[in-house]
Amino acid sequence: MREASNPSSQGLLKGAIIGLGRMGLTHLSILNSHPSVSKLSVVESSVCFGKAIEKNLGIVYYPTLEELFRSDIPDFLVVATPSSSHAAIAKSAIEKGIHTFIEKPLTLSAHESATLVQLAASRQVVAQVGYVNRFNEIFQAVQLLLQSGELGAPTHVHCEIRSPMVTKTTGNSWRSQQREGGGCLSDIATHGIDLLNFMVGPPKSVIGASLQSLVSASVDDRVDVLFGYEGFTGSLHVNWSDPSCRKPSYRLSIEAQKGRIIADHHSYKLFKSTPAGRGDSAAWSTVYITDIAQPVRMYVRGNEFTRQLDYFIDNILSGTTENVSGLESGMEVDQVIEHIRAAGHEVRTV
Amino acid sequence: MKLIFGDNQFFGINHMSEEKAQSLSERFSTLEPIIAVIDHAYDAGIRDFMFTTHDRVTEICDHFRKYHQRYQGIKLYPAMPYAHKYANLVADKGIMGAVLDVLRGDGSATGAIRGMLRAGMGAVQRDPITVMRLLVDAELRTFRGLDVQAIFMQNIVTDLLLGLRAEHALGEFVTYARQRHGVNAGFITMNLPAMAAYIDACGIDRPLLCASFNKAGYLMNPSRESYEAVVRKGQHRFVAMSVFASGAVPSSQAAEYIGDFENIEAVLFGASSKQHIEETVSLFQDVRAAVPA
Repeated sequence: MREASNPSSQGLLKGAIIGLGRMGLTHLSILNSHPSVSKLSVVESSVCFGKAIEKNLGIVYYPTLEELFRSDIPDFLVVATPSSSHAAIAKSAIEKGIHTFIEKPLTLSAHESATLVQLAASRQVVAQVGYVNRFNEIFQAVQLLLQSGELGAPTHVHCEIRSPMVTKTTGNSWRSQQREGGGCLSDIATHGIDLLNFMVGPPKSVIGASLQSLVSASVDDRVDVLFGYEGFTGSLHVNWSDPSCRKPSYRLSIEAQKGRIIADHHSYKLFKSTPAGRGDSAAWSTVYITDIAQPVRMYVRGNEFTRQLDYFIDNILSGTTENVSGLESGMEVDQVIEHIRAAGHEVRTV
Repeated sequence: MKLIFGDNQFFGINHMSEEKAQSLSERFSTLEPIIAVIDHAYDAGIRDFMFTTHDRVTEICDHFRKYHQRYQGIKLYPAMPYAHKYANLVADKGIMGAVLDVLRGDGSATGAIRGMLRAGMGAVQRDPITVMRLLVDAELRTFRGLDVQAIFMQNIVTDLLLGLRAEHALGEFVTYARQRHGVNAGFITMNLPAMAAYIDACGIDRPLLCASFNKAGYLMNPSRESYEAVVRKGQHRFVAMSVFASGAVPSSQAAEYIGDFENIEAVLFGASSKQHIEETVSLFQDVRAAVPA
């Protein structure tokens, strides 16, 4: 195991968060209450909002990353800005030897992501990407079950995500512009790609794909992909303009030689083939999140959000650069996205 | 033990399973089945009801006002905000854009809101406490003319503010509820020990603290033992929720567990069938409740 560069001598860390949107504020709340974080600063492009945070919460605010770095080099940085800015911000932080947590997607280009992977390795920093489902206890249990080989080799993997995020045409948010990282594929679909990668590794090929606009003027709202793996196939269906659900809803389904798993954030159903043969209802069992969830130090939006950041901080403190959600995972998602775009048949319904 | 009837089941919220959540949300897609369940609860003797400030609550409150004879003695505990109403707005427009949208959407915007909207984002951002007061007013307007006992801050906001150490916002929520609206205030939290310690440190005067209490330790952060220690100290006012841990704890054990604590004033629970409501009422009827000092 490689050693990361040492944190502050007393084991207390100075951190900074850039970008105070919904995720940035969540991260701020989780880290602000971490016993090993002694000081937090924020960088936010809205001067008014940044000043309000400074005035009301006593958290030091900088309008730009440059000003933060001129004043103080933190031990770690959390990047929660719009996706198009991730590459440049992460690069400037990692170059300075700062441990860096980057919200998903890692960058908007597989090439830039690969550059960051190399840079992080050469600077020996702890670097993590915010694929938070890797810290959900149900998905972790499913992944362990698959890796154990108990169900034999997979024959098909499938992930479906539905969300009511974008249900009407909106004008000028960054999410509505592809070059800014907007569109379903670069946004919530990355969670689906990563979840499949987490389960069975990245696909060997994209057999076919379609990107469909449902309500957005210039980006995709629906993504359908058929993946090829070594000896099996996979599919991904993501719709972020689905008014039929109240909040994002996931369904992960894995068929294997000796069983089947159907999972979401709250439970998984397991079917294990038995000698009794077809339709044996006794072969089904369900594990609920209430059966396996462990409490967290500070719950803000779900166990997994705290678990991913506490893991990041623990890795900094212990000098561990290997990471279950390392930049390689982020890069692999970005590579799959480029293959999907290359294969993608664009369907326009608006 | 006083029972407060909650509303998660009406809005497709179920911690155990997305499938169950979906089928609940289908079943309660119109007002009629919701009112039927509320009537079962009322007829079983329950008078205390918590409602999240979901859009649908407007219709429920209209129903209560229209048939006020039917619902004599009913007491309401609004829980705000309904997070998903804001979450999608925030994702799209940023935090301040979402706030402005909600305030604009409030038809009875006062002069203060209009002034603030004219002054633009800057004014809103410089004075988040005023924004919070206006949002409380906007959310409470739904409940006008009804007997509101206490307002609760939803855990997604409570715990965010707790982590941010936003002392002023938490304190002002309590002060504003009491002084402006004449009602008590409470916080729903997933971090009871940290919250109890923080409100003590800030000198916030005994708000209701609503948190999970179950033998399974589910949603009790950082540990079940730390919750038990806080409650036994008895220095705060407690409302227990998630007492069945979404079904992980058998009902008899749930009542037994709550009965072990002398300092719990009420149990918040949700149910969608007459049978489950009546069972829960009978389960808790002999459990002694704390009397607030």
